[in-house]
Amino acid sequence: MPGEIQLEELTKAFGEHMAVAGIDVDMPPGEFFTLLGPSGCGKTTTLRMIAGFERPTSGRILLDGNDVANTPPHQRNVNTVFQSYALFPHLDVAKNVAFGLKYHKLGKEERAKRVGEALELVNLTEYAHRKADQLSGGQQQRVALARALVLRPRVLLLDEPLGALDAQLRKNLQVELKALQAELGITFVFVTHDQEEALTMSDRIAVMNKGLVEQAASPRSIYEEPTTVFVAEFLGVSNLLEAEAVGREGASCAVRIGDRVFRCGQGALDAVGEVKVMIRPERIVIEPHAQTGDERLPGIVERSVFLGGSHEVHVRVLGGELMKATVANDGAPPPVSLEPGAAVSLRLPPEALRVLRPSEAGTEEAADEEETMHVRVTDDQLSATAPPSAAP
Amino acid sequence: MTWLRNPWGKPRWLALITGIYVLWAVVPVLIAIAFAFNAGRSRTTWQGFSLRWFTGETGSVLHDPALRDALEHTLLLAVICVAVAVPLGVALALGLQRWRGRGSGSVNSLMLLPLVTPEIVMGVALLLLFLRVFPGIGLGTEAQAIGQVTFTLSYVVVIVRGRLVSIGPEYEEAAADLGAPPRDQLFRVLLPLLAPAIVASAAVAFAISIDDFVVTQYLSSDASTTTVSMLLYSNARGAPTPALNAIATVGLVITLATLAAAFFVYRRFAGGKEATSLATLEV
Repeated sequence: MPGEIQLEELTKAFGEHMAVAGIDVDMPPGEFFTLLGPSGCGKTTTLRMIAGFERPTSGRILLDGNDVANTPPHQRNVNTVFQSYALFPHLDVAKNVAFGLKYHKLGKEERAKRVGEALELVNLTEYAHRKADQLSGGQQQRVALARALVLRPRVLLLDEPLGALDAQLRKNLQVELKALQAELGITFVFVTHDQEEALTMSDRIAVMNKGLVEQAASPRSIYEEPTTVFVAEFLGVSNLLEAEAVGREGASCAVRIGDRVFRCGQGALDAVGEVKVMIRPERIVIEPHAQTGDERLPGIVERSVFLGGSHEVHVRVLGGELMKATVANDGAPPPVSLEPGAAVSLRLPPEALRVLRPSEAGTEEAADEEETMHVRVTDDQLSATAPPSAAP
Repeated sequence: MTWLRNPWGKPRWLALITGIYVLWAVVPVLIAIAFAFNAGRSRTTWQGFSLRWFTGETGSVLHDPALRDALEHTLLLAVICVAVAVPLGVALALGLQRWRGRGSGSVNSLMLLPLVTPEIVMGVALLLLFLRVFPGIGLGTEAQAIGQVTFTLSYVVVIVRGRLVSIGPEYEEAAADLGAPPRDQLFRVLLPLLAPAIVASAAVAFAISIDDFVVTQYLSSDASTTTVSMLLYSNARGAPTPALNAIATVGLVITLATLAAAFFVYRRFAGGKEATSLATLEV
């Protein structure tokens, strides 16, 4: 199946600034591939290099084995859905969709048929003779999609195509886009900064940071098995603890957090020395303070927010770190008091504890920024959702 | 001064001052236009309505050779000016927009220079140019046309570039992405999108050419290169008849009609907001 993209040692410098600092990525044919990262991470520049709008400073872009790095965009068999859609305002919907067919050797009837099919695919047949600016945002997005897909590209590039739409429409289109991709079997390369969107739609995600790919894997691996602190922080909520790895013990790694030793069953088990230990909030078990023993960290509840399906509990643990734990709501009142000030014990099961090696200086710095941002966001959510009486 | 302290009150004073200003500016023009239709030879005493200064047998715009020639020469210069300045200006705007390197900033500022240079300075400079540097061209129609193109070009570039900036690079990228080679990106996408700005800049160039006096006067040679504005200037204090008012009225109507047409074309195709900024520019 055609539509494979391989990026080899790809770099792009804008003056002194390295927007893309040497990435190697394989995008298998027929997959929904997402480039995910914060703004300025190089994901859009990467997409623009694949499209041909930017020329790489070095490296290769292989489309089905042929290096297209220096092929101008109009000669590449890839098409783009722009963030702003870039529909031609002087043409109606049908003429927008037909625009690129001029460069395919097609008869007049064949051309009309293809336009009709493309409009049908996106449910816009009755809008064929509207001007682009007479359509809603969601409809414009569909026209942009039809205009690209009518050319039957080997790869479709999508640059945050849902960014300008409201939340509800966004959710619907996420599902539709994914279904469309599965139906057509075309490779989609999707750029987004929205981790939820990436997890929902992708077959494979490459998390980018500062011009480099931190990790490329399936959504499940990215979430469950992050290999770097940045990835752990960027997707979902993570608790990260400073720890010292003291050595491997069979299938686990012993780490010292404060004066306690924990066993970690995931991640870089061979690490020794300064590491970070990560655990997702939903994997932490909250127990009464009386519980002691291995795998447990005592703490005091600082805040507790009822979110309907779960409670989000912030616990200040021994050693001063703030940890977030999620307690599922099973209908019964929680077995442990989650009121602010309650003393609890957090059980950190070995199979949920993940050892992350300290990153390079650059990444760590970014992770720190990310952390503060995270805390702030969570605080905002807390104050927004907590009833006034629960606020400290 | 309670109106200063009352933010909800109607700004009556502002309305009054605006009204007085409008009267002050418009009434003399209206009076001048009215006397173009005077039946007598006076430009100050109303003697009844007539079209004799427009179409009469003697001394009218239509039949007096001097007046008619001036009007024809004015229109000829305007047409040449538009025909040269607009394509050149569009090309320059496109080039400047693409050119992002050393020197592009200073060229951008230089393009604005003719807009702020006192016209008399430019007139003198151009006069010397044609007398000393290019004596082969000499004074007359060619020199007048070149002179007018020199400064109307800036208006074209400014208007077209403004539109180019608001269009952004995406449409060209989209066209390239869909397979259009550079030539088609220009002709199938960019020029159609620029059309309102091109029409507007043509109208502005036309109106400026018709209204121009200083440069056109400096670069004229003999009576055959006299324009309406030059004629008005030289005859205003001599032996004027309402025919001068009539020819001024014709010039005014042409100018206003051109600008109004451009304004509506621009607003129709480029949205109201930009049209407003264009109107400001024209003033």
